[in-house]
Amino acid sequence: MLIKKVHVQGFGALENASFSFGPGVNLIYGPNEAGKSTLQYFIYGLLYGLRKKTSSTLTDEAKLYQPWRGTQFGGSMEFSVAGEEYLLLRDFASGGAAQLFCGRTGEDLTRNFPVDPKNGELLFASELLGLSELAFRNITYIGQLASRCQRELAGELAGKLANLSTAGEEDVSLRRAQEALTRALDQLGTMRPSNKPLGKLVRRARELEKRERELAANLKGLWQEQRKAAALADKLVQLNQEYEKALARQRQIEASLLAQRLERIRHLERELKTIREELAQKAGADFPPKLIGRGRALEERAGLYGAEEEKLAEEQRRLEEELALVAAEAETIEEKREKVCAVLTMPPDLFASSLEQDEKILSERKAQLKQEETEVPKGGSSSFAAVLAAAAASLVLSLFQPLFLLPLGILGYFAFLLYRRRRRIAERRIQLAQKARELEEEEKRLQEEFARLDNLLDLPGKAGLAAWQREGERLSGLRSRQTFLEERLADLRRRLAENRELIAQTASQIQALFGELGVESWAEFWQQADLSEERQKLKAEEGRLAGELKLALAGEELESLEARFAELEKAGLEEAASQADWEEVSRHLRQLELARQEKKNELSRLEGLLAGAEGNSLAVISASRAQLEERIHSLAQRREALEYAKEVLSECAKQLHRQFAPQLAGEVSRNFAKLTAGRYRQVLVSENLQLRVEDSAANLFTADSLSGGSLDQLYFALRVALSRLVCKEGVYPPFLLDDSFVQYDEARAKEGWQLLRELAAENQIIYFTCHRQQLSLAGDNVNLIDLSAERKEAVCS
Amino acid sequence: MARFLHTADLHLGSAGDALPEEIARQREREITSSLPKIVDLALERDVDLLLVAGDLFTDKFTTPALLRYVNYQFGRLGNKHVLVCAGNHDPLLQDAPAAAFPWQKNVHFFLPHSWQQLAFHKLGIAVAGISWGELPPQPELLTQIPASIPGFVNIALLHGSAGKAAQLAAEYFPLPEESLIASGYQYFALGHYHNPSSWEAEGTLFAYPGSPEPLSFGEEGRHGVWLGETSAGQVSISFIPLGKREYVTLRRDVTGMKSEAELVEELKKDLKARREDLVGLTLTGSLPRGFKLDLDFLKENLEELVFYLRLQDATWEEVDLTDFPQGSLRQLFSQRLAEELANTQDPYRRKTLELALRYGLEALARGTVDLGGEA
Repeated sequence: MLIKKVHVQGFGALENASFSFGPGVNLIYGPNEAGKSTLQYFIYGLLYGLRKKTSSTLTDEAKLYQPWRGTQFGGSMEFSVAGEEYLLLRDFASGGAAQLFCGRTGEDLTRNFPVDPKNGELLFASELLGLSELAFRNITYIGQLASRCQRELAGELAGKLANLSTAGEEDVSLRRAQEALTRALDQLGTMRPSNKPLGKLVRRARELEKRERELAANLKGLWQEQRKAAALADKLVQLNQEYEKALARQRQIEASLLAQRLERIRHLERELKTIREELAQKAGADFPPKLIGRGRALEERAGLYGAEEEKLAEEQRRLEEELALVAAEAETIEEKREKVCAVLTMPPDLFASSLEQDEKILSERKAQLKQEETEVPKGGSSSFAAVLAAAAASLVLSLFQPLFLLPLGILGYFAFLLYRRRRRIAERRIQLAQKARELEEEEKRLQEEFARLDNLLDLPGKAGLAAWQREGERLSGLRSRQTFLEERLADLRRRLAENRELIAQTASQIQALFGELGVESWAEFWQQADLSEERQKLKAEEGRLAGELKLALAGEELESLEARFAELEKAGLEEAASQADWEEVSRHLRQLELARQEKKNELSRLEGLLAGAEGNSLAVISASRAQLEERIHSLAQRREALEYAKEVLSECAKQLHRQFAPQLAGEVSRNFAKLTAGRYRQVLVSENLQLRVEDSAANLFTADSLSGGSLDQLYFALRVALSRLVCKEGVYPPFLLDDSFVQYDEARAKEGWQLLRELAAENQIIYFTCHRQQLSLAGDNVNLIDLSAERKEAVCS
Repeated sequence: MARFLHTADLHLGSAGDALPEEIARQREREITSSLPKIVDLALERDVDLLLVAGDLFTDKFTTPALLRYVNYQFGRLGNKHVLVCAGNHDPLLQDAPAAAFPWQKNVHFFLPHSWQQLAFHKLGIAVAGISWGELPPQPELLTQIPASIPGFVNIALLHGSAGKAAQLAAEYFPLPEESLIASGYQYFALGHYHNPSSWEAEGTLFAYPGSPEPLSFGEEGRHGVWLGETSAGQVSISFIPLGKREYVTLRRDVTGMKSEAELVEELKKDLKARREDLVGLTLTGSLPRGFKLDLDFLKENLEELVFYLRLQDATWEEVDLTDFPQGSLRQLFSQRLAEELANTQDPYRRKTLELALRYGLEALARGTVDLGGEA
């Protein structure tokens, strides 16, 4: 690529300034603040735009470059790539839209290049150079103090180198691609049922397959049912024939039975006629059966009451006779006893009791007397004689001795006392003798009284009293019987009166009944009643016959029966058919009908089943599953493609890695040896693409152990190598260096410029510097652009 | 003069191949409805014979209800004869439903294993036929074809592979043209192929009516039956379209397409007259690298324009090997797959390789892979 001319409309401090570049080395010199970095950034912006990666708005860095004086924010560039001329216009203000024209024809080529869908940036530079924006910035766009940046970027670059080794492009990552393919495979799922797209389809297909199998089995079952239905239909035809046959026989039997029935109807009609004639002959008033019953009851009742009357009257007579006998006996006994009592002034038992009481008292008095007699002393005469003898002795002695006068006195006193006692005992004995005479008299009286009682009672002693007692009891019994008989008689009389009342009432009712029926006697009554009953019987017979006739007609007219018979008769009559035959054939018909109905129902069920089996069509499920299988097939093919892409990528990456590492190492070694004037002779690229350097003494150093200047040179060497390896074949991108050698010592700076000059044979070099010494180092064949002068010129113009 | 209708391959009970359930359900109804349409036509044109040259049913989908329905439809023809030979999809096996079914009196199924010839004196037509049974009719049976009856228009009702296909489809009752011509018959009422065709060779007329309703993609164009007329010992036929829908396959090259919206607008014009049809749209051509067709968008916008849309993406990514840095992984990967593609004829393998190329480049460029709508 060759940048020929850049025109800045307005960009930071630069405005309306044009810069022409040539092939080879272009040295842009200017003091600080002259706009070198601005110009470098402007060129980058023209090529790759200044938009954010994810939107069309400007980056924050780009906003710093808005024109100071309000001129248009943008510019143009004329350049050539692989012999084609281009004109690029860019207006950063309006989102940085780029327009690309053919430098020769003026044709708008903008639509020939893709647009980044994320920020709308026209990707012409990436397409033309084969360098992405990132690659451009890391390889050919080299800012000030690059080594410091590079040190920080070392890690990132190592990653990019890995990409370069496996993908051949620093921003194309094999690992990322493999991961993306693995993710896609995982996202797709496998042929095992799951919730992933392929698994889902497989699961659904299996469900449908299962459903299909079920439906096929169901269909098989349906065909079995269909065969059953066909067999049933045959059976039904057979049953129908049998039924028709039985029906014909039933009609013949029916005709025969109808003939019999018609005969019976006619017979009944004849009998009915006879009965009605008899009834007409026996015309008369009808005794209502109720009145006949009533008459019968009254007659019976009158008989009953009459019999009762007789029975009661007989009983009355018998009772009255007994009562008369009982009363007469009682009267006799009572008179006799009253006489005894009148004699004794009291009942004999009381009298006897009184006598016994007196006798007892007498006995007691006699015992007492005897006691009293035993208690009376015998007389005391010996004591008195002794006392008198003593007194006489005392007196005699007193007479000899006066002192015996005192015992004579005492004996005298005793003699006195004894005397008085003897007199009282005498008196007592007299009293007792008197009492004993009184008791003898009493005893005599008592004996007389007992004798009188025995005389009255005609029996002696206790026997008389017992007879008296028995007679009293007999009397009492007679009196009780008399009372009972009297009560019975009174009751009997009441019942007789009541029965007579009933007889009278019944007679009255009979009279009323007779009056009602116009008869005068029971004989007449019963004669009329019998006649009436005979008529009733005839009427009942008439009713029965009429009922039978009605039954025989069964609600039909004789004419219609005769018409029906005439119809049935045509199909013939079964000889000697009976109701049993009819019932038998009817039962057979019912059985056939039942069997027919059963078969019909079963057939109907099967027909329904067969007709309703059209839903859930097997064909629909089959078509649906086939469509699903197509989709599964499509996804499975995608899976296969993903796996194959992964496999091929892996194989290609291995091949690339085998080629890239030695190639890169050789290229970088060559450049780095030049830059370091042979101090370092080789750069080694490890398996994991880490850079190491080997000095002339064969010492190995890791890249990050180098000084800032050496590291800067190493990365410069790497950039140059990468530009060779990475860029589109035949396309050499320009190198934009912002005082990149400023940290180099003079010798290395010379080597650096030497390397740049070599590079400039194919790549355009645009070197920005504020150091005049770089002008001499750059050599002679250099397109110098003095920015301070340019600016002045620009400002003047 | 007598008239007849010649149909075949109705595949009653079928729902067509590989369709979503709802579409399949409707197609099943439509395929079943082809029979009453034929019967209506037979009544309208007052034909004397209805010839069915095999595959009246698809046996594995045949239900008792369907047989009843078919019987009812044939019954509508009254005294018009229905002559049927069984095909490879409804062979008259011993326990085949159709074999034991109590068909209407006007329906006659030709037997397998041996020829039958029916002569209709009033019509001046004799029809010979043979059905498929346990095995396909054997080719040597052709030598036993009943002799043509002089003074009659002799018709053979067969289900097999006639014409150029006779040599290719040995298992499907090959019917070499020279054998058929030698039989002296005037008309061969054939069945087996689902697209209609007819040709004449040495005064003998051959005709496949195809399925009255198409059954799958590949059976494009009009579908219907042949209406035949006999006159002076000759047969003439004319095609009567009956199909409710057509299967249409469109291939659209999207190379250079600017956007899906633009494509939709263009396709709308193509699909305008296809409202009732089943359209298989295959998008072909190359797409710019990194560009991916939004199939969901296309489907959403096109689906409602037709009865059924089967959209297939057969595009490939435009890969210019010079787009990638020489010796880069992308270049190597693309080159490897491009070489494989150049050496591969098998369409499935080609498609797999194209997808692998697309997915690999996408993964390398973006670090993601877009598998498209369904995934």
